[in-house]
Amino acid sequence: MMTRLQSHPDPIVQVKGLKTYFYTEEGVVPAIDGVDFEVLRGETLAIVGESGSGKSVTSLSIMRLIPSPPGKIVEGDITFNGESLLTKTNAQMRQIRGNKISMIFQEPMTSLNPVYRVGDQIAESLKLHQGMKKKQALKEAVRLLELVGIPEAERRVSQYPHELSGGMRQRVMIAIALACNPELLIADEPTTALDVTIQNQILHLMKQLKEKTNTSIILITHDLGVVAEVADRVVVMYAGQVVEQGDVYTIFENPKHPYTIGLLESMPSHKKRTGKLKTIEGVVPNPLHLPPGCRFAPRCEFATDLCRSEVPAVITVGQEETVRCWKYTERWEGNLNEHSAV
Amino acid sequence: MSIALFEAQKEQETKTDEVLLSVRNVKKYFPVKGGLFDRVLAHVKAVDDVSFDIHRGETLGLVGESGCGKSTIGKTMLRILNASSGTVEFEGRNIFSLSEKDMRGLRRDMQYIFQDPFSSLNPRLSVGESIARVLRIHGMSRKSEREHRVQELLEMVGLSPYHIRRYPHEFSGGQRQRIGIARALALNPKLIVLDEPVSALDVSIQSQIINLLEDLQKQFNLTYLFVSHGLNVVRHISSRVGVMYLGKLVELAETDTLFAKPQHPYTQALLSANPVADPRQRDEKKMVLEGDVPSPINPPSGCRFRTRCPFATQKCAEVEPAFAKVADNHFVACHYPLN
Ligand SMILES: Nc1ncnc2c1ncn2[C@@H]1O[C@H](COP(=O)(O)OP(=O)(O)OP(=O)(O)O)[C@@H](O)[C@H]1O
Ligand SMILES: Nc1ncnc2c1ncn2[C@@H]1O[C@H](COP(=O)(O)OP(=O)(O)O)[C@@H](O)[C@H]1O
Ligand code: SF4
Ligand code: SF4
Ligand SMILES: [Mg+2]
Ligand SMILES: [Mg+2]
Repeated sequence: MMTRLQSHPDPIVQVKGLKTYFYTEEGVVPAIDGVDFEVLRGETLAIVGESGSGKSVTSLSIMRLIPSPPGKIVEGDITFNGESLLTKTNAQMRQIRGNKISMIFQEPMTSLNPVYRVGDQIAESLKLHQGMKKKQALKEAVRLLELVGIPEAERRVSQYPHELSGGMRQRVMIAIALACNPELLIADEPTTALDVTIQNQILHLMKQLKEKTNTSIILITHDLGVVAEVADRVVVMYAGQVVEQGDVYTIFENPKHPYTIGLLESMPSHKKRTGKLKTIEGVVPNPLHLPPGCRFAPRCEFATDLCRSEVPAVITVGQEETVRCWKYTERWEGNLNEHSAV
Repeated sequence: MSIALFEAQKEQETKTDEVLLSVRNVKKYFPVKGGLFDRVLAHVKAVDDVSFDIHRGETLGLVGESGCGKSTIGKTMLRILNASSGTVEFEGRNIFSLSEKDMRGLRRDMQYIFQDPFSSLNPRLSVGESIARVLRIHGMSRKSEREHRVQELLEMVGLSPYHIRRYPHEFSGGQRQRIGIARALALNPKLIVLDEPVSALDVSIQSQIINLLEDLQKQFNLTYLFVSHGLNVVRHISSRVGVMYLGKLVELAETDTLFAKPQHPYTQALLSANPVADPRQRDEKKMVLEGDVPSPINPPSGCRFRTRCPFATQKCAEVEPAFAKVADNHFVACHYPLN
């Protein structure tokens, strides 16, 4: 019954049975607890979930940037182009991070160095990873700033981060991330701190870049609007686990997991402008005291004794979707007919 | 536009809605200090000549990008900040000319709920103490009466009496927002300014708080000014919506009209940039606004939006467009309104 998603012929990233735990004074936080997904070449994979669901820890695990202690990858594997990242030395990882995988963080101000001109920061990356000479690197920096849509790039290269707006700083971060022509770009909430008109510019830019360079993208966000805008496939996380994954149309039009359904229904939209919003009652569980069975059970309207006592397995439904929920298994009593498609 | 013109236009409207609060030509400039002697070098024109009404029992939404002056107008309107000029009338009284003492009485009627549920509660007071203190300051002297009221308020916002003795750090973001709401309700206010009340919360928690706010509004005939940059939330909760840009109100209309037929180019751009949770609509042509919002210290001449407006002409650089009526209940500040 424990069917696993069929592997694609040549994924760029495979995350297999990943567990990343934090050993804190209060106890063990299973931040990532058995996560499986793949990133296909040239696709944008969105990871969505509430704060604390493990989105950032997933991306830091792929980058091998989990702070240790207190964090540790305790089980599973992550492969990049078929090779395990967990067996690489630190020196090898630095090479990969600079040249093949780039990451954009949520808060651009904290990841740019305030005392260096933005042009020098981009050029530094080019000198380091592509072995360019200073003059050539600065010229390339201007080109990259133009590529990410910064007006007056010639003037901007010699400015300091605080002289730029939030949106421009985020675009500089993208320029730095692109400096090495990465095969994979991980963007962790790249637009969360930005206004919608600026967010729109950045999303537009990411779409264009994907078309131009065929970079694979992992986009982490809690905003379903952003997901609908740019993702090809979607991974939905809840309390450290993947509860559902599928292509973007299926997730929005035919979601399976009660949590995904609840999330979509609780969004205000003009179609349901009048009347009450649906809600998911309750709050996410404390990671130190996770419920024994399904982690969503305390908030799920369908929860049964089975849900409360046994962890649901990951089930493949349809072509490419997985869902972690007892409802879609033959052990579900009662409303099998309603879901006879599974 | 002149205040007389604005009033005249208002007159023509069928007067079914009772005005609870009216804002006229309000300006709030913050001094920018610097240099050797800490002189005032310039002013941030955070709110620059804004006029609108709030009707009793309605929810007026206020949207716009970060820094456009939403919070400043909300705070100035309640005299949490002192206005640079203009008037605000609450139930017919100009609150800017009231004495501190009279103002204190009025403060019960007007509450402000802050953006950040984490920072707006005193970490050293239990939830019960936090609310009881508000009650005591405003004259509820009997302890048993206060305790009873605290319990009633917590129930109203969906918290159990068990929470009374807990401290803010023991609550989740959504719960803290509920506590903030309970505290604001303590004195039976008429008007509440809700400044980004759900922006810091997860989607599944946002809808819980929005439903709560709507229930309370019905139950107590509350009037809300709902400030947010989340367009979908504003659309859901507001009866009318105002759009701000760089210290100015650029459009004000009934919610459905504003979203269906925006007439200001900025409103149109803002709506178009708002991501829609429907992947089938992603390829629809979007209006991508170039550039960033200019500095509120030195805003562009004429129309402030002209540096990013695709329709700008010479006139837009020279003449400031009036905030004028284009239809019933619909005001727009643009020389060339759309449609
Ligand atoms: N105390 C202050 N001193 C100086 N400038 C201020 C002060 N408070 C606000 N401002 C400035 O006034 C302008 C309007 O700020 P305001 O906080 O009203 O924006 P907002 O629309 O609420 O933005 P956000 O969506 O980010 O909350 C901004 O340029 C801001 O920097
Ligand atoms: N350095 C750390 N030490 C202890 N716990 C951590 C650390 N980083 C993350 N966590 C915990 O891991 C879980 C997942 O966090 P994170 O991946 O950052 O969530 P998000 O989905 O919001 O990005 C949370 O319970 C968080 O508290
Ligand atoms: S396993 Fe049970 S409790 Fe969990 S989501 Fe499915 S139905 Fe709900
Ligand atoms: S007045 Fe001119 S610049 Fe301003 S919004 Fe209208 S068309 Fe654009
Ligand atoms: Mg995160
Ligand atoms: Mg604000």
